[in-house]
Amino acid sequence: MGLGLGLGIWWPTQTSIIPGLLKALCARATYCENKLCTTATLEEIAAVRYTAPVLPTGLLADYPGASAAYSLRNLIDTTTSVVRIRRSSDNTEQDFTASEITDGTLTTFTGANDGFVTTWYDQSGNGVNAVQSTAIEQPKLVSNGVVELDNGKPCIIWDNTNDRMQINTSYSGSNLLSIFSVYNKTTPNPSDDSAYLVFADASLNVPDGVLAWRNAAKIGAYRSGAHSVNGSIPYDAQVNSNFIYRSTQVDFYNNSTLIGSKTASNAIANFDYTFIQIGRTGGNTSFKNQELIIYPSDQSTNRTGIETNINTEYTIY
Amino acid sequence: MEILGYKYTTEQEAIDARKQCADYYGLPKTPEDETLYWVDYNTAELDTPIFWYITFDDSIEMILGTPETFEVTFPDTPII
Repeated sequence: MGLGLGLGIWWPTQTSIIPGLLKALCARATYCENKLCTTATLEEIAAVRYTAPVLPTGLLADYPGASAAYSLRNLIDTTTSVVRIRRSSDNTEQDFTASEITDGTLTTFTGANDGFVTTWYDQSGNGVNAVQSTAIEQPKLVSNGVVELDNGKPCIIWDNTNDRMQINTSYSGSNLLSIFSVYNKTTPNPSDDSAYLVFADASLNVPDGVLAWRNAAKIGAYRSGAHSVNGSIPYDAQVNSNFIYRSTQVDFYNNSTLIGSKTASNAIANFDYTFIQIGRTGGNTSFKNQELIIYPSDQSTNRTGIETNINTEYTIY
Repeated sequence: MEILGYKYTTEQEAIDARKQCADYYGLPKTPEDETLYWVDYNTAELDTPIFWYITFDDSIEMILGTPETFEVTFPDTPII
């Protein structure tokens, strides 16, 4: 109950709350900036003076510096569209976010038809999208109104005939290159001599480097007339496959296990390319692809962290 | 290597054939679209004389007609 002082002022009889009141009064201060003054609590002033930045999250935030990064998930939370799709019914194209691939938006767009990838958007911030402007050479994400999946996650299907996508980017020879990918080399037909990634200059017929599958489930780098690595890789199995090029050695990893290393000069000679192609011009390249991240640097120290991030998403091993 | 397709002696003929196919399928649908062509042509740059060709696909037979078989020389390194 309050005690009236005859002046219309209410005063608490519970004196125990007075310290709190005084504290609140003392905590108020006047803050001036640019000749404008505001009286507020210290907490309010602090909130005005400093707003903590919202930091991006995702694989590319944790492990920055990629020169190109493609996926059907968000590799960084600032990503908007991840792919552009052409529907087979009337050739209309539309961009899609990662969530729109799986929430029915994409298949509503395609109807009971096919959806082909015209653009796989680069999430690295460098704007080097993987593109294919020729319809019959575009890989496929939707078949007969159903999103293609590998191990339960959306995947892009490269056919055995002529599918490929091109990336215009340049890289000049520090011999440091790290490639992280999620793919599935599907059963070869008619040949198992096929390329996954081609690094080239002006002419694709004279590649600077090729990551390829060859003869009896071998994967390796083709360069200067020789296949330089031949670690074993299973067909028809989703793998987290990584390649670390350093100045003196190239290491190949599958599912975080080292499957081959090479120090031969033709494997590690200066990389110098202006063009990357996913898939092979001449066909014989049938595979599924879900993710491809390229760093122009040695990511050996981050390798296990990046692999863990990838495996957390895809549950490969 | 033996190729089934359509062979052209000038690049302009190959460009025209590519445009015929694109027009047939209404490409590009809008200026913003990535898809410009239905099929593309290749160059047999190691052959003498050089020629240009479009590899056969079922979807272009009604546009370009009956395909033919011809030899194309590729480099010793694998075609990529």
